[in-house]
Amino acid sequence: MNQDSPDRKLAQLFERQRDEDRRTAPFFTPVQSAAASSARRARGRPSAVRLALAASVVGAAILGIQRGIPYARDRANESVATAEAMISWQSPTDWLLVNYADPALASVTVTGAAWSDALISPAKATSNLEL
Amino acid sequence: MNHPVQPVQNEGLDASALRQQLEHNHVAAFGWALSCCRGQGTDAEDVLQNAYFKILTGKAQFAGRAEFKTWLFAVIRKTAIDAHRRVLFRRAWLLMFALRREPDEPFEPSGAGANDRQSMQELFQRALAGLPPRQREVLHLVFYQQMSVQQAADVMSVSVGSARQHYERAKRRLHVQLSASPVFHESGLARSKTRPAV
Repeated sequence: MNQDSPDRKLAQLFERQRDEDRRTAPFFTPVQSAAASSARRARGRPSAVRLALAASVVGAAILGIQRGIPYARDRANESVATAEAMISWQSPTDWLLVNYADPALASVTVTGAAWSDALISPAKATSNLEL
Repeated sequence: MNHPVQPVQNEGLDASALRQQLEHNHVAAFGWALSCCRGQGTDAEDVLQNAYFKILTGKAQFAGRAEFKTWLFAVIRKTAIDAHRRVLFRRAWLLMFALRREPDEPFEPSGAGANDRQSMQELFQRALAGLPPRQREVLHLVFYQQMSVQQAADVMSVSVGSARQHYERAKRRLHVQLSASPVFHESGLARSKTRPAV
């Protein structure tokens, strides 16, 4: 630092300031012990970073659940609709599988009756007899 | 009775040595904290306490690369900047609710009973507070703390060249601000010109 007049004057002004500050300076022990007690409290406390991390994880979980519930509901509804559609589905070629011999084979043949009697409904048979 | 906190091991300093160093530099550290807080005593105390807290919890660790005082001052500066940022954020938040801060009062020398020395000191404090932060910091470190420009640069985390520029500009600017007042002319400071720093 130069010792010419303005610098010296500045130095004087700063020196006066230093003296003034020295008078108002707090004692070391209270400041240090306050910092030490804060440090003790801080040791048993999670840090701000950890708290922020935990909060963000919880927030993300809540957000995920909030968005996930309607999606899951839609998916469930879709599944029910699909199942219903599958149950009611009929093949367009189902008629090819109809076997006209089935009614004849479903009952025991009566002696004296023609096998074709089973194909004729009882009402029709009665009307035929009347004729 | 509170048990002393065991500080985190710092480079070459055990708990008692660390405490001793802090105590040794305490008054100077308070002066520096005051400068970083623009002369606000309570803010300076908070900043100092927070800086000690950082040191005691090991958030700030002395690596032995610089002098202890230089390192301590850098920790205080960083702490003050963080605190200032929080204040600005809070103020911005308050502004959103249309609460306006009262403007600073213009400087008026003390009344008739006050002496020249006090007036000059008040003027000086005002002029110093009007400097940009880096210029104020370098002047404080060099004149008040009697550090070299190199040490000031270390505290401020800038290059020596940059610190020197801030130093020269700060002196010029302070001179201009002080010379605008009649109190300054009465003090005899106006008679000579500044010379560059060594």
